[in-house]
Amino acid sequence: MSTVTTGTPYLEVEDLKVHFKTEDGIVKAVDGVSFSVERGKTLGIVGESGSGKSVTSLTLLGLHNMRATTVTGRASVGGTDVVAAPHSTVQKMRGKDMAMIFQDPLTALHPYYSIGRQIVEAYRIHHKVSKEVALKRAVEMLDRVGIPEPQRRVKQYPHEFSGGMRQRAMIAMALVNDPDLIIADEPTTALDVTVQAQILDLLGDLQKEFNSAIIMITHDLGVITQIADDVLVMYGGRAVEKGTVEQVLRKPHHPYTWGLLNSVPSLHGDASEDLKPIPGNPPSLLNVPSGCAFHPRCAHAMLGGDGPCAKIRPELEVVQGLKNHTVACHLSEAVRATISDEVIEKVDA
Amino acid sequence: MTQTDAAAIPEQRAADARGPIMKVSKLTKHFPVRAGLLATKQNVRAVDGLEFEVGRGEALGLVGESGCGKTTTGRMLVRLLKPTAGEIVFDGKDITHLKGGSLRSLRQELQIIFQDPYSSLNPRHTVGAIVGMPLKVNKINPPGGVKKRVQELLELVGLNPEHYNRFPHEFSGGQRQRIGIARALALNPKMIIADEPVSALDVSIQAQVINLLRELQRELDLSFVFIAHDLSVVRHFCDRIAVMYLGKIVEVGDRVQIYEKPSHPYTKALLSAVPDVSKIGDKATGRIRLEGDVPTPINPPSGCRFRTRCWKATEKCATEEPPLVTTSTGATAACHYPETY
Ligand SMILES: Nc1ncnc2c1ncn2[C@@H]1O[C@H](COP(=O)(O)OP(=O)(O)OP(=O)(O)O)[C@@H](O)[C@H]1O
Ligand SMILES: Nc1ncnc2c1ncn2[C@@H]1O[C@H](COP(=O)(O)OP(=O)(O)OP(=O)(O)O)[C@@H](O)[C@H]1O
Ligand code: SF4
Ligand code: SF4
Ligand SMILES: [Mg+2]
Ligand SMILES: [Mg+2]
Repeated sequence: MSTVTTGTPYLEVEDLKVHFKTEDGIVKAVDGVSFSVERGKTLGIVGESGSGKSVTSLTLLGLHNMRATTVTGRASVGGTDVVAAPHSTVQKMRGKDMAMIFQDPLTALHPYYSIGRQIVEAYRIHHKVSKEVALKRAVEMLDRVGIPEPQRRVKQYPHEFSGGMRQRAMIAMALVNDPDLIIADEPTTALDVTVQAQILDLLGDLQKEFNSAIIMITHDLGVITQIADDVLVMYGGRAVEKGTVEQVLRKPHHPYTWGLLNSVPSLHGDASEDLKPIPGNPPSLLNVPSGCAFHPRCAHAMLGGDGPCAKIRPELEVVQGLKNHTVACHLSEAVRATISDEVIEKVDA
Repeated sequence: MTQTDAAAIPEQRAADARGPIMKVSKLTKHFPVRAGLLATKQNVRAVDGLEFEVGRGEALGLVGESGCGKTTTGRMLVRLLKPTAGEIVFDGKDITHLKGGSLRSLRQELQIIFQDPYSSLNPRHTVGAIVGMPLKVNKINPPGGVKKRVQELLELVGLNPEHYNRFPHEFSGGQRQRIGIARALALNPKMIIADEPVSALDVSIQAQVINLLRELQRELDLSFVFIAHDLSVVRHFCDRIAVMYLGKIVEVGDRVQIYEKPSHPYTKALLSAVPDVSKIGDKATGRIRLEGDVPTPINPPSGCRFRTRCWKATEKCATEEPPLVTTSTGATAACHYPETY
């Protein structure tokens, strides 16, 4: 288990844009996002429903209908730019160079084939082994993701599994080839906390063993806290804040990140108080609000007179000279620092 | 709609001569399956003898590990699944064996909200048609007409009544979940079984939906069974919580009993596994790692079903099934050696 640090991140995404042509117009699902993940590291991506998290990851795997989709920018996976590479190249990379754990197990599992058969097939794409050997591997993987009695369960069909078990079966299928980059899209949303903890441990173990890079997409900030090294906060198809977990969750500098932290129900404190969701709804990506996309919902928006929030789109800028903590907001650094402290005080209460 | 003064509810609840809204005894569901080399018929004992009550206007939380039988329980409570054994009394009536017309009228009073706001709404129907469907099916013509009632419902759940003619895909996840809630409320139910109603939503929308459910509970005096695996969400919404393990209830208690002073070792383990946003760095410290796998519900362990993973298990735990009894905290728990405080 040698940790190879080559200097260049395994995954480098630069100014990625993914636009969909629809009947109603162009949906700018991802609109200029950059990030990178080194081997052995985990990047957490958080953000509201519809903010472009899944589209970003599907793009890396080349899973879009290219006729209706325009992808620009660069996304280098282990040195291959998957945006520019031919479809067949990207297809061959799936499973081994990169693998995805999907949000919804039912889209990834075929209802008519047994769980075992599906894992066997996934394994044999990258390993020239007999079905018997592959089946052993399938049982071993089911065991690793905590499915009881894997010998028996391997022969069953998806509908015979509970929701959480289906999720774990899919995780087993995604990880069967020990991928270098694991993209996990809400992998534990359907799971209870003990199984979730088990899956997070499993991902951590695999990461140590194979020095893999992980992207963890989730709306559970607790999960991010537990396994991520860095965090990317997305809103309306763009990154609004980026930094280490410590920076983004303990010293958050974007009003949207504050809103997320305020919405989380806590395990302590007064349960009779109503939660404090961010008012309003996510923006339409057909018609993204001018200036800062968050301005219609932002309690701190500067709108009147010379207020820039509805006029100028804020770009990511470094916070307090910490070059890896960046935020896109027009508020002054001093104001943000003060509010940040107040938000964290409440989270800790 | 009855508008009740929120402050009056607890007293009224305690003194309610009508008894609990729901009382469940020995509720059991076994699924026959073929298993093993000889493909002999065996039973998955998904739910095995549940006993609980839900007070009027109360929200009872149902939590537990994946596969422990929560969904199966929820589906039996609304009679989408037929219990293998046991009894469900709803509003004073035994509904365990209802059929045909009386089952249909039960649906008016007892509704279910499903987990997935994406697949539970028909994409080809307008929001108006979806929310109005229960009225149509039950041939109910509310005063002012179906459309007016639907618009009232949309307003009640915080949606714009003018969106009557829109289709589900034009709404966000949280809005879609609200549509599902509006549909569940169409017939003025007394009780709602909510199976993971917010698990698919992100934190901000989740907070909106929870606040909405709380408001409805206060305003309409609704009772809930709230199934969820997110313990902090349950803590926020539920007055009492029942913890399930492998088809059985292992502990029932109020918020303080369950969250501050868990009696059952499994409850304690479950709580220790919740990742806490305010604790970066000390990854998983204090977490009780449960050893071993969840045993199979086909052949559950003898005695206490948790014993194969319990750090306190003794000989007695393998031979004697612990009954649900009151513990030192006032909760009820099924354990020979409950935690003491
Ligand atoms: N094929 C497509 N055609 C048109 N629009 C699309 C397509 N796929 C996704 N979108 C839109 O792109 C936006 C981003 O979607 P995406 O699935 O990435 O959101 P997300 O951040 O993963 O949200 P969630 O948390 O709900 O999973 C959404 O508004 C979605 O409706
Ligand atoms: N139709 C069925 N046939 C056979 N077994 C079933 C069936 N439905 C459920 N089961 C089994 O019953 C048990 C309980 O399942 P259930 O869906 O109630 O669990 P759950 O507590 O809701 O889990 P989750 O949190 O994963 O949704 C599981 O072992 C499951 O595999
Ligand atoms: S730029 Fe303005 S509107 Fe946007 S987050 Fe900052 S203060 Fe709010
Ligand atoms: S009865 Fe025994 S095995 Fe079961 S929870 Fe209590 S101590 Fe553990
Ligand atoms: Mg997504
Ligand atoms: Mg379930």
